[in-house]
Amino acid sequence: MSDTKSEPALSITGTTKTFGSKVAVDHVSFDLYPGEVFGFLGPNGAGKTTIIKMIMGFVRPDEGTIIINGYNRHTDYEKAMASIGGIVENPEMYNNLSARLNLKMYARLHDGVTKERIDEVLELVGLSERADEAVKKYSLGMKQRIGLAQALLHHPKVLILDEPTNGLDPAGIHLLRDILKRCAHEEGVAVMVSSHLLGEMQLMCDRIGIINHGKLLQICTTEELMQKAMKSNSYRIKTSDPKRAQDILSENSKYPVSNLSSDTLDVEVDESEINACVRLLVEKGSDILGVQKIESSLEEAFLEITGGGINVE
Amino acid sequence: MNKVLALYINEMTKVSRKISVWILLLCMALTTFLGPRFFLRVTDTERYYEDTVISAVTKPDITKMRDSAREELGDPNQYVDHSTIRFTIQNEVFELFATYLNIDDSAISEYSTISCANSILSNYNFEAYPIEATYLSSSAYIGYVITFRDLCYLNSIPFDQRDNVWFQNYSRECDRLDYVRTALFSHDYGSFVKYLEMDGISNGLNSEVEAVRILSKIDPQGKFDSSESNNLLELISDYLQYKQLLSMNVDIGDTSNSYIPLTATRRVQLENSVKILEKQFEDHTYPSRATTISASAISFGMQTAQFFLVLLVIILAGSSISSEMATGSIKSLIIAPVKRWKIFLAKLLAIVTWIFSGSLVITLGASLSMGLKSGFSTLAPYYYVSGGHVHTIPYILFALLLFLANNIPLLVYVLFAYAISCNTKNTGVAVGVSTGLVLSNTITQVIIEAFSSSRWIDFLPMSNMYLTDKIFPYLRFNGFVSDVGSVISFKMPHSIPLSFSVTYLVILSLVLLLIAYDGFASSSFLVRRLSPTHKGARRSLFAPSPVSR
Repeated sequence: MSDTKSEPALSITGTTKTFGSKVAVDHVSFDLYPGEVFGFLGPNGAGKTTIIKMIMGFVRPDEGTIIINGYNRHTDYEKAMASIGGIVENPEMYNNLSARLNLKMYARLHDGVTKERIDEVLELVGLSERADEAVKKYSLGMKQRIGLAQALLHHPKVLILDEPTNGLDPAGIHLLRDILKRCAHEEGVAVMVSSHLLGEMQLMCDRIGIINHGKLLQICTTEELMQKAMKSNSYRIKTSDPKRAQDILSENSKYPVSNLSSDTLDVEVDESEINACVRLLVEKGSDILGVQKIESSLEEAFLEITGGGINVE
Repeated sequence: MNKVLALYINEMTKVSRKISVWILLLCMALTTFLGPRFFLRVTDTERYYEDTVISAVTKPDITKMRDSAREELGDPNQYVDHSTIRFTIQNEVFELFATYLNIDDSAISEYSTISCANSILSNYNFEAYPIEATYLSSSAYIGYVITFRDLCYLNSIPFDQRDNVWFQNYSRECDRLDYVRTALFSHDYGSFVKYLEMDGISNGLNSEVEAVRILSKIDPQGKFDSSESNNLLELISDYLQYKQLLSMNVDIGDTSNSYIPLTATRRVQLENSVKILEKQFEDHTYPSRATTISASAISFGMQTAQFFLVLLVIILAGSSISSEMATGSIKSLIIAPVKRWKIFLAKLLAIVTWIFSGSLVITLGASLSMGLKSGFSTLAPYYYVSGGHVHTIPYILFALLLFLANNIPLLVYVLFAYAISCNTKNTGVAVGVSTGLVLSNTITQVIIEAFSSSRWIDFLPMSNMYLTDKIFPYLRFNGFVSDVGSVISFKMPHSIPLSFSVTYLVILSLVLLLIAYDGFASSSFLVRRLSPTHKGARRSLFAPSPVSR
């Protein structure tokens, strides 16, 4: 990242939270810099939301410091929180009030938010026309949009969104992506997005942090993650007798085999060697019905980093 | 503090958009406006004085009375032992059938009725002073009839039995008849008082005579009707009682027949009461009957409407935190750059504001209702003594303060509901339990009455809730009845010092506040998503067992 040398907008050091005997977040430290979109990736129950809740002031960390825009969240609460905006879980509003009034009420709690700014963010998220309707009439996607409007209202230095694409239609997702990128790259906001969907992350984020079992396992740029994924290519070979094919390849022991099914098997092999591999099979008498490259191996990279398992609460 | 103000405005905006709030406020306004009128309609205001109000006596009535007595008696001469005696009082000749043998009491009564009626019919100016119209004429009329009959009895004593005592009695009754006759026929209070004085000396009823004497000074023309005079006489008798208690240096005990030593506080209170009454008697600003009725009707309207206020603020307090937790809208408050205690305080202030607004609506409604009905002059200011001088608080301010004083218990209930709401995060539980607590008042009252001789009951919250009569000790002189509780509190059989009750309630409120704040501040707002195994997540005092979703 080009901005990594500047002051971090959000700095988390050694943050830990336990619930009873369960360690939800275990000594997590990372920095978030102005102008980047940081993805927080991890399976359900990995601790993403808990970390976000600690940053947003919902949960008090047991240990560690959280510094937002240079202010310690613990000792300088209001100044620190003035620089942050976001959505935790689903955006919840006062349902019987209009979106505009909801924003107006939220604006009162911040300094320097004008009426024009409210119109501006409503325009930005595409809700200008329905802003005077009660929020209870909104769809989930519209609620996400109004939540985003609220998060952006006071020009936060740090924008934190917890699974923001939930409930959004493709157009909404596209809009969200555009808004986030514009915020980060043009206005210099530090954006943090959590998700368990890799594809989304890939399109949105500059850097990705992977978390599982409350531990931050790795932080890398999206390109690094992609490269890691591309390196470990595998091919799916369709054959009438996969067992036989496996034996042939095992004898050779050069090509590791996995995911045996009734008519396919997956082979981990470099692009340069797939020709040799197929030839070997044909020579040894196995009938090849088809060869296909498995594209979605970003998941595998992810699984590899997280230790291969999806943990369930 | 700006943030608290902003949060407070938000809170008020939010609540004021709820239709249920306006419905309850409307109910309050309607009840408080219509309540007093309903009270007047269903309550027979004459009932208070029915013992002393005589039925209308008109000229035809008296004629009829005389005629029927004559008819019943038949020919009076049949009993007469040829000795109809005549006696003269101040140039008027009375005829009395005096000396009969074997005459019975009912016959004497009939004779006296006939004679008395004749006298009134020939001498009384019915047009100028209808007998039932004023206290003076009606009381003098009764006095005249009674004295006349007494004289008749005396005259029925045979001549040979008339001793010195008889002569003394006879002469006194003649004097009394003279006074009461002047009082009746000339509508003269002075003579009436003299008549009563003679009666009082013989019967030991000095204080009653004294009361009428004061009454005659306030109403020298004798213009007050019976109920107005009786209303005033009640005040005067209180006044005389206070003076008597002060002179004897005693106070009335828990039961009305026992006396206890007068405390310093009570002495001051009695002295001030005497001062206020003296001033009121002098200025004619004592609570008139109309004022007293207005005050009762207003009290009724306010107390009925208070029910809706209780409902409103308990619902608001019980839901203010928990409903936001339930809908998740609390998030936008938590994300905002405001500390939690500010959120807590702003919400509490908003609830207190609703108590005040409700009180204002109720007070104005009831006062307006009675003002329009019975005239705004019936709404009397509150009298109190400060620095040895009598001062007043304007009516509307007083009425508001009175209502707020009545609502002191409500503050405690609100804090209770708020504390439960903050800790259980459950609106239903908070509202239900708090309403139950309000309703349990009646049960507590029964318990307290059962243990009224024990002092430990003083330490129950309920025992210290009703402070109105302690804050406004001179309510009586404003037409209000102070010896009743309110919808949400009751008067203790014995008096607990105000300072004790106030200290008690302040401590209780602080404890409830702390419990509420502890519940609110320690909330991790994670309840909705995490597994139900993390008991340690919520370190609140009343944390409920986690419910799995």
